[in-house]
Amino acid sequence: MQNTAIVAGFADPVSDAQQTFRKVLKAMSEPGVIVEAASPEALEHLYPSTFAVCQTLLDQQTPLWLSKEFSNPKIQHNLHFHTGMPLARQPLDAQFALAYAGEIATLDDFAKGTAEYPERNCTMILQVQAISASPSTDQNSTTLKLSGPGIKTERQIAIAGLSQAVIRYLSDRPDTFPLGIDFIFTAAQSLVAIPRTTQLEVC
Amino acid sequence: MNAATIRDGYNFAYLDEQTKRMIRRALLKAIAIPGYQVPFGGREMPMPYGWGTGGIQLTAAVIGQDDVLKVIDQGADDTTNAVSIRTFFKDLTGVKTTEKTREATLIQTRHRIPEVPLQADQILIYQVPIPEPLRFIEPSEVETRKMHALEDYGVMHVKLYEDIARYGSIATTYAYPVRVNGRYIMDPSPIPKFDNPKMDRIPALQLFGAGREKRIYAVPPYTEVLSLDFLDHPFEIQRWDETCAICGSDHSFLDEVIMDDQGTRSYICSDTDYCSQRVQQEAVA
Repeated sequence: MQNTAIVAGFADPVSDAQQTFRKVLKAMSEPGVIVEAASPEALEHLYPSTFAVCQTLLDQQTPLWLSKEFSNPKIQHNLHFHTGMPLARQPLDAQFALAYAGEIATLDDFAKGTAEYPERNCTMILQVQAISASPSTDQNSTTLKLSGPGIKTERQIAIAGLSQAVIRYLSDRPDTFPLGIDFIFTAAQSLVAIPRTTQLEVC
Repeated sequence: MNAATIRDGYNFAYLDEQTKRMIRRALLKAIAIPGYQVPFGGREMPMPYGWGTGGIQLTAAVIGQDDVLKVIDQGADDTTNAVSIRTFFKDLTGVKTTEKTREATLIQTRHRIPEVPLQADQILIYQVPIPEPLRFIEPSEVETRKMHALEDYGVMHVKLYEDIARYGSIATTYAYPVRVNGRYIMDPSPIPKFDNPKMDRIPALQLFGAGREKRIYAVPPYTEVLSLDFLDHPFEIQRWDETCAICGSDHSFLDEVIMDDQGTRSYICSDTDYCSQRVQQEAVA
């Protein structure tokens, strides 16, 4: 079997996981707020921020689905070494999914929860090219106006690298609350979360 | 890592890392579905159920070295429950603790919300005995789960109506049911209904932990929390004719204290920090 290099994870797993969790907690409870998070080393395709989120939230109880870009032995081996997570064979089995936001052609295959157990949904960790708090002129970038729980009036963010399917899912909200998918969008060193309660408008 | 300040042989904040991750994941789900009770694998804690095992597990999963912790029991920092939980976290995390609401980043509470308005980036962690607001009406978990799924909340209003039919007004004074973000009916834990308006659209994050029942729920900042009522019987909070015997406050929640065998009563603020801050300000002025 071919040897794959293991990169270093958190320097101080207890404290770093706690710090990263608080960032994710802030992001999830105040959608559209951009927070910083990073693991000291990263892999090709796997951002330091994404790697930090994985080390914070994944373990042997959380089946992870990997998209095509992330389905290589190097990433699988490293994530498994640092978190112990099993791989989900089908999107529907996944508690967490990892992909580039541009790769997602449909969100129909992922778990949305059930009326009685709405928490049994998939949390998508999607890598994007950039996240900014101010509207961007980049044509690849989508400016979103957010409102809902966690937001006083409204909040604007620009995300570069979303697929049409993701944009459509977020603005149309095909699954009625409390069902739905929660999103964590990661740029290289930062992240932003959009839970199912957030209403979006594409500007 | 200031490991030297943590009691030997324990992980930071008592819980093992796998348990913390499980609780953290449940917390994120709870925030994404405001007011919905997420089941979690509650652990046995070194204290009996009813003493805040739910709240303490949430605090343990959330707390970090930079936090400043405040613990209150019925508003007071100096009661047994508050003192022992504060000492527990001092021993096992080494974090700074405070009695001042404004200085705290984390506030674990039993049955009160501080009088001083909470700020952004503060987290209020409630200890919850019975998280299911429908439980006293419908004892079956299978049924209450279905009622939440179908938004079948008529009985809750019937219960409040029965109060009106029997007493002429809504007699529920604590654990007064609320509706979160227009969807889930939630038990705000046994806080007096005096505190209910303090939950509505505040900048702070509110987390709820029920250890015995193994449920976590949450209210994100700026989220609507409405107390249930009727058009002709609007929601009202408690009021007192008396003022606090220590600081003279006429707009805080007052505890009744029996002074002698003849039943003489006195009233004092339940929020000890609020009361002492007012006394101090008075002294300066």
